[in-house]
Amino acid sequence: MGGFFLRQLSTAIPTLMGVSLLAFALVRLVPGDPVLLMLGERGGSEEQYAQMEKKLGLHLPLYRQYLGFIGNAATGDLGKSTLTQRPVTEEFFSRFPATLELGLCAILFAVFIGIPAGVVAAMKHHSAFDYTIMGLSLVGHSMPIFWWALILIIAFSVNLGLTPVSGRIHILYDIPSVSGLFLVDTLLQGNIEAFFSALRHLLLPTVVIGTIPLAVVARMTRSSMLEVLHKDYVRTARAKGLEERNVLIFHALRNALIPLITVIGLQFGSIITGAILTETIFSWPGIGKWMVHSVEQRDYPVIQGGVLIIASMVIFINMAVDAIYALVNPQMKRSR
Amino acid sequence: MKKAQKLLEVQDLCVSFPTRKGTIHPVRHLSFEMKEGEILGVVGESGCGKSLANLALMGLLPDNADLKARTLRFRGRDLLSLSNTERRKLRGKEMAMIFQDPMAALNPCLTIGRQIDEAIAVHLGGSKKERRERALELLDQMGLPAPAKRLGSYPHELSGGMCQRVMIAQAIASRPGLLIADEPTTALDATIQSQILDLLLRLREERKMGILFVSHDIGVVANISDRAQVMYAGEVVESGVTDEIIKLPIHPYTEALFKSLPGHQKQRQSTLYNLPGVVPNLLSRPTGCQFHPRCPHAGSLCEERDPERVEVLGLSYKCHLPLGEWT
Repeated sequence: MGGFFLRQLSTAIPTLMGVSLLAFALVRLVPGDPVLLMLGERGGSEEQYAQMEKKLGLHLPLYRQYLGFIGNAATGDLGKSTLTQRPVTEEFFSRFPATLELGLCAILFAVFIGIPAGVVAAMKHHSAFDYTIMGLSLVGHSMPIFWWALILIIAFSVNLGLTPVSGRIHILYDIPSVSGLFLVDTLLQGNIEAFFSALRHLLLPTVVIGTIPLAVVARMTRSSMLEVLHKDYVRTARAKGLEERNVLIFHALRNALIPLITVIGLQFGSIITGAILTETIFSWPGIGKWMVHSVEQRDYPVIQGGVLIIASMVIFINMAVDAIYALVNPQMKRSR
Repeated sequence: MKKAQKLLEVQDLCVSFPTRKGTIHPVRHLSFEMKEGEILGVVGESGCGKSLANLALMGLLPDNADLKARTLRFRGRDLLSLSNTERRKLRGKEMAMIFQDPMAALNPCLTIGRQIDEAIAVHLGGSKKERRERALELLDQMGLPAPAKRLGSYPHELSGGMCQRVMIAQAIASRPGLLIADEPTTALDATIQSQILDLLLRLREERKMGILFVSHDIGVVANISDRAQVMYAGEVVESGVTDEIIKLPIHPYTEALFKSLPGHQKQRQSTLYNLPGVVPNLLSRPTGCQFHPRCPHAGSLCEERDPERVEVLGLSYKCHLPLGEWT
C-alpha cells in the first residue's frame, strides 16, 4: 500500500508543476493590468504606477516571478491577495467549507437517487420506467445549468415561496464555525431551527449542482448493472437458489459498483472545485464565486494560487478514488 | 434387477425465443428420463440447445424465453406447476448446477468461503461455526489442498481446476439428487479434466447422485456416462446405453462425432476427420432431417421428410438411413 501511494505521488508532482505554469501563464495572457486596477479609476502618475508595480512584484522578469511563485508555494505560501492583503490560503480555506458542504450534498443527492434509479432501470430493461429514467437523465445531462437554476428559483422560491433565493443560512443565525459545514455546526450548537434554515438554503443549489452527476450516475449504474446481470456468477448465484434480492445486492450490485466508484470520484472532483455558475446564481460564498471575482479584479496571486490548490485537491481526490477502488476490488489486491 | 426410482422425466420440452425476425426454437421436443444415481451424458456441437435445455430444467431461462413441456417432473413433482419461490427452494438444494468456465462462474468480489457459506446458509442454515465446518469438510472432500486457507481466498487466486472444485463443493453442499454439469471440464486442461471426472464419478458412488453431464466432447461423455443422448439442432437424434452407442453408432451425426475424435483414426499421421458445415441457423432451418445438409449418406427422402423417432431395444434414433446392421 505504501508503494501505491509513492507511485501516485510521483505522478502528482509533475502534474502540479504543469498546472502551476499554466495558471501563472494564463493570468498574464488575459488582457487587463492589475496595477491599473489597483490604482483605481482616476489612475496615477508614472511614479505611482512603478511603485505599485514594485509592490505587487510585477516589475521582476517573468521567470523570476514564476520561480518565486512555485518556490513559495512549495513552502505552503501562495502569496497575498492584492485586493484584501490576506494570505491566499487563508482566503481559500475560509470559503472552502461552503463549497465542500454543497458538493457533499450534491454528490449524496446524485448517489442516493442515481444508483437505485439505475438499478431499477437495469432490472426492468426496455420497460417504460427504463426509458423514462434514461430520457430524464439525458435531459438532465444536457440542460444548461444556469437555466435550470433560474427555473427552479422561479418555481420554488418565487412562485411557491418554499426556498430562499440565495445565501447559506438565514441572516438571523450566528453559527460558531467548528467544521465550517453549517449542517454540522448548527447541530453541534443544538440549534434545530438554524439547521433547517441551512438545509432549506442548500436545497436548490444541491439539486442544481447534483443534476449532472445524478444523470451520469444513473446511466452508469444502469449500464454497469446490465453488464453484470449477464455474468456467469450471477447465474451461479441464482442456481444456488439464493433469493433474487440477495442475488441483486451481493452479486450484481457489488460488482457493478466497482466502475461506478471512478465515475462518482470524478464527478465529486469537478463539483468540489467550485461550481462557478451555481455559486454565482445563488450567491453561495464558495470558492467558485471567489475565483470569478478574482479574475474580474486580476488578482494574480489568488487566481494562480487558487488554481493550484484546486488542482491539488482534484489530484488528492483521484488518489483517494484509486485507493478505494483497490479496496473494493479484490483483484487489485496482492495475492497473499 | 430392481427398478430405480425416476429422478427426472422430461417429455416434449420445447424452448423458444421471440426475435425480430421470427420465433426461434433452440430446443425442440426434448424427451428423456433419468434414474436416481444415473449419469446421463448429453453430447452435441455448440449451439445444439444443450445449455438452454439445462437452464430450462433449472428454471433459469431468461425472461423472454418461452418454455413448453408435456411433462417436466423431478422426483415425481411437476416442476411446471411450482411457484417461483418453490422452484428457487429446489434449486441448489435438490437440483444443482455447475458451469463451463469456473473462473467466471464464481463472484470475483467475494471470498470462496463466503460463496460456499451462502449456498449452505440458504438451504441448510445452521450457526456460523457449523457452516464453516461444513464448508471445510466439503472442500476437503473435493480434494482441495489446505481448505482452511482457501476459505479466505478470492477466485482469481485459484486455478481453474480449483475453482471448479469449489463450484462442485457449493453445488453439492445440500446433497442434491441431481447435478447438472454443463461442460464442466471444457475450460480445463486434460489432466485437470480427468481429475474432475474422477471426482464426479466418486461423488456419484458415494452419494448416489444423478448427474446430467453435458459436453461437446463425445470422448468425455463416453468415458463417464451410463447412458448418452446425442443432440443436434435442438433435438435428440440418438440415445441409448453409452457402451452400445460407442460400439455401434446408428445416427450418422454420432458417427461423425466419433470420427472427429483425435486418436480415433487407425493409422497415425492420417488427417483428422472433419465434419463439414455448421449447425443450422435457427431462423432458417433446413427442411426434412435437420442434419441432411451435412450428412454424407443423405438421400432425397432426408431432404423432404423429418424422420420419425424409432425406438428399438432401448435405443432410440431419428434417421431415415440408420447405420449398421443391428437388427
